[in-house]
Amino acid sequence: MAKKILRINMTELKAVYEDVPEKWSRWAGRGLTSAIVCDEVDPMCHPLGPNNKVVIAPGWVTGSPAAPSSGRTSFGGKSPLTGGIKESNAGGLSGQMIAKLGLAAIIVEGTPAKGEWYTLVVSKDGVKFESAADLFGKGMYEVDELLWKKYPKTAVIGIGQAGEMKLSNAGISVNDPENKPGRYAGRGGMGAVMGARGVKAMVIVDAGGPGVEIQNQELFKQGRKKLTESIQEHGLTKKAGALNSFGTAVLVNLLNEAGGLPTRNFSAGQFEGATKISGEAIAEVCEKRGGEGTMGHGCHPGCIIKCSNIYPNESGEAIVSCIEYETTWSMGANCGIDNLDFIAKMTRECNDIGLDTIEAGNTVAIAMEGGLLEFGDAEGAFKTFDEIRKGTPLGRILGQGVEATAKAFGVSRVPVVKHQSMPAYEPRAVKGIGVTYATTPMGADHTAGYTIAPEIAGVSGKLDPLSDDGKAELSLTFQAATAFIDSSGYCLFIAFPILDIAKGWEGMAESVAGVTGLNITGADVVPLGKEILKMERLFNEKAGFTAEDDRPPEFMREEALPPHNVKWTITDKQLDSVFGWVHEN
Amino acid sequence: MRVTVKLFATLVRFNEGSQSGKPFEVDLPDGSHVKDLIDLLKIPPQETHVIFVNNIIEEHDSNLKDGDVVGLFPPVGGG
Ligand code: SF4
Repeated sequence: MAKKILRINMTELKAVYEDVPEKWSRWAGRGLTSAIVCDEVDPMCHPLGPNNKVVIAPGWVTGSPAAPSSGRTSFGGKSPLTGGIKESNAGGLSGQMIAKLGLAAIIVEGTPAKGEWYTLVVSKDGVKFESAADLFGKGMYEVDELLWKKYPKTAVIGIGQAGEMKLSNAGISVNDPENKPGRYAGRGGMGAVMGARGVKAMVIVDAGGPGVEIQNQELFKQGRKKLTESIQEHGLTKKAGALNSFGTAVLVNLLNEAGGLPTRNFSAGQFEGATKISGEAIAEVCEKRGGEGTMGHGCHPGCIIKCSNIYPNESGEAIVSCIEYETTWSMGANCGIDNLDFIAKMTRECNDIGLDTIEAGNTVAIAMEGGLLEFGDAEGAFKTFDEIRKGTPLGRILGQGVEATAKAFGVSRVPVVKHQSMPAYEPRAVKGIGVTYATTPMGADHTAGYTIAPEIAGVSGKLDPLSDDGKAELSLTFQAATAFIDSSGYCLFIAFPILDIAKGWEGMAESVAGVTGLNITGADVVPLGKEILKMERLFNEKAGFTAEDDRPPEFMREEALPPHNVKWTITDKQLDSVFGWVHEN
Repeated sequence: MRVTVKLFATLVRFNEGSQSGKPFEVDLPDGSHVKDLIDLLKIPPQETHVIFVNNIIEEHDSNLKDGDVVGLFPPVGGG
C-alpha cells in the first residue's frame, strides 16, 4: 500500500488522507518536512499565526524491521525563534508508530476556536479530536502518564506549559519506552507552533497499521548488515564504547581539554568544574546510587548504540532521562554550575515545562551575566524554571530564550546566530563548527553539520580545530550529509561509524534504497543533502534572510577566548562561499 | 623531565585508583615522545585516539618537554 499524507485541519476539526504527490514522493524525514513547508507555508507568515503548520515525518527507514537506531521523527514549520525554516528531530516512540500506520507525514494546520485545546488520537481508523481541557496547564510528565492510562503503550507527542504560552523556546516532547518525556524536538520553538494550532498532545496508536513496505528486501538486508556491523565495530558506538558507557556527556572533558567548552556565557573555553559534570561523573553516580539509575539506555526500541541514561537521586529513584552533553554543559559549565544533581533537576524542569535545554541553559547564563543571579548559583537557577512554568512576566521573558532575555537585561555578549543560541562548542576554538552555526538554515545548531568529528574527535580524519583553512568546504559537506541522515530516520550518531568505515556509508544508502525502491547509492548522499539545503535556504531568503544573517555574533570578533586567546577570524567571504552555489545553475 | 598526565573515559583503567581527568605526574627521560609515555603507562597505542599536549591536539610522535600537560582520550564523541 502506498504511503499517505494525513492532513489535520484544526479549524474544521477534520482529517483527510491524501496520496503523496509526485513532487514529494522522493522525500522522508527532514527532506519531506522541508519540502512541504516550502510548498505550503508562506515564508512571510507569522510563525504563531494561522498560516504556519506543524509537519511531522518519520524517516525513510523508520519503522522498518530492525534497521538499527532509526526511530527518528522530524518536526518542521516556520520557527518562532529564528523566523526561518525549522526541522527539529527527536527519538522516542513516535517515528516508528507513525511509519507503521503507513503515513509519510502528518500535516497539522488551521486554528480552533479561541481557548479550545485538543488531543489528537491518530490510529488506523483516522483521527479523533478529544478535548484536552483536562490536560491544559499540566506538565509533560503528567500528560504522558494520563494519556497512557487511556491509551497504553502508545506514542505521545505533546507540549508543556511553555508551548501553551507559545514561548519561543517551547519544544515538542516525545515519550520514551518508559513513557517519560525527554525526547525533544527542542530547538526553534516548534512547541509554540503546535500550541498555536490548539494541539496539546497527539497520541499515535499503531495497532493494526499496515507497517512499512520494503521494496527490495535483499538490498535492504545487505545495507542493514553493513551498517549494523560498522556501528558494532567502531570504538565510539560499539557496546561498552564511549557513547554506550558514558553517554554524549563524554564530550565534556574532551572539549574542555581542547579549550572549546563555552563557559560562563561564552566568556572562556575551559571550566574548572568540567570533570564534575562529565559523562564519567554521570556514570559514577548511576553506578554508586544504583536503583533506576543506568547508562546505556535506548531512547527508542531498536537502538543498538544506546547513548541515553537515567540519572537517579540519592535513593536510586529516577530524576530524569537523560542528561545529554548539551544539557550538562548549558546548565553546568555555561552557568558556572558544577552540581550534577541540580543539572538533573533543571533538565527535568525543562522536560516537564517543555523547553529546549540548550536555549534554556544559555538563557540562565545570560540572566546571570545581566545580574538577575550570580554565576554558579545552582539553587537560584533552578528556581527560574518555576517562573516560566507559572508564566510570570519574568518567566515569559526567560521562556523567549537568549536574545529576548539579553535585551531585557542589557547584555551584549549574545551567542546567537539567526536568533538561536549556540550549543556546546566554542566557534573561536573550533572554527568549522562556527561555520556551521553561521550558515546552516536552522540558526546556530551543532547537529546541522558536525565538523567536531574531524576537528576534535578524530573521526573521518584529523583537522586542526584552531585553523580557518578549508572549514567552509568541510562544513558544507557535513551539512549536506546531515540533511540526508536527518531524512533517513537514522540517528545522527551513526555518522561516526559510517564516516570512518566505508561499508557503513554504503550500507546506510543501500538500506534507504532497499526500503524506498529509490535508486540511491553512497555517492548520492551529499548531492541529495544539498537539494534539501537548497530548499531550506530559498525559504529563508523569502523570509527575509540575507548574507548578514550568516554571521557569528560581533563579540566573537572582538574578544579573545582563553585559554588559546583566539578570536573569530574566518572572513565573511569564506562564510558566503558555503552556500554560493545555491544560485548557480 | 616530569609531565602531568590526565587519562579520560575508559583509559582510567591504566592507572589504578585514578579518576577520569585527575592529573598525576610521570617522570620520563629527556627527549621522550608522546608514544614513550603511552608505552610507559602500558596503554595499547590504538586506544589513545585523541592526544592533547597543553590543550593542543598532537600525535604519537610529538615531542614532550618538562612541564607539559598531556590529556589522553579513547575514541569519544557525541552531540
Ligand atoms: S544513539 Fe542515543 S539518541 Fe541515537 S537513537 Fe540511540 S539512544 Fe537515541
